[in-house]
Amino acid sequence: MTKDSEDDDTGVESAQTSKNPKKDRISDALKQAYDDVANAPLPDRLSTLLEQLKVNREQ
Amino acid sequence: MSVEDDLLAQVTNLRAFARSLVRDESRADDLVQETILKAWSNLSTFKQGSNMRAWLFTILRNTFYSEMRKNRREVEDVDGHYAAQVSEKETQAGIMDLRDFNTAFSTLPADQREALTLVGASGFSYEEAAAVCGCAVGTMKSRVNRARVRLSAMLDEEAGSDDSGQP
Repeated sequence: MTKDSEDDDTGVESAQTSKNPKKDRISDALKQAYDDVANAPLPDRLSTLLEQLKVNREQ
Repeated sequence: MSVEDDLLAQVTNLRAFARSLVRDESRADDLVQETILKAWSNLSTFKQGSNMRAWLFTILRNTFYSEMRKNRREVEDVDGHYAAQVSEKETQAGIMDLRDFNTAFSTLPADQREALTLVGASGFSYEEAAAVCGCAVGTMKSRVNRARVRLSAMLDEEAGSDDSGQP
């Protein structure tokens, strides 16, 4: 297990409400990186799997 | 929407979360595939009305760490494999270069990457993210904060070293 402080660090800000421009840039880049993957077309094997599951459900 | 539809609709989010844990695209999709199959076969255990996405992310995360323990694979991207695969698409004005960001992000410890992804990109509250990771809320906040501080420092260094004069 990773060593990790259980303390609620001082200075912790909500990721969604940060007022720090530098942190906001990080939030923007993080979201874009996430959305790039989420919005990318599914690979064939996952598309096929989803289709199979849908067919199985209807049977 | 049925429970099955809800599950299938989360595949894109699962892929994005998987990529924060496993930088190799093919391995990440292996993880997503395994998660879907596990979830599908255990749908009867899913509590109706609870958070499907959190349930799926928890399965994916548990599967990832279980595999890591079995295979003792390196978590960190020591060879920059992920960074090399990052899309080189143009970024919009006002957003830092995604290549720099992804390179810096890939150097974070796995627990910080997942914390930042869950809270900063997936839209989970700290409480939900802590539940997914099986840790205290304070620990989740600490991980997110450390990740942000570390990213910020790395990106500042990157910006400071870029004196090539090129756009």
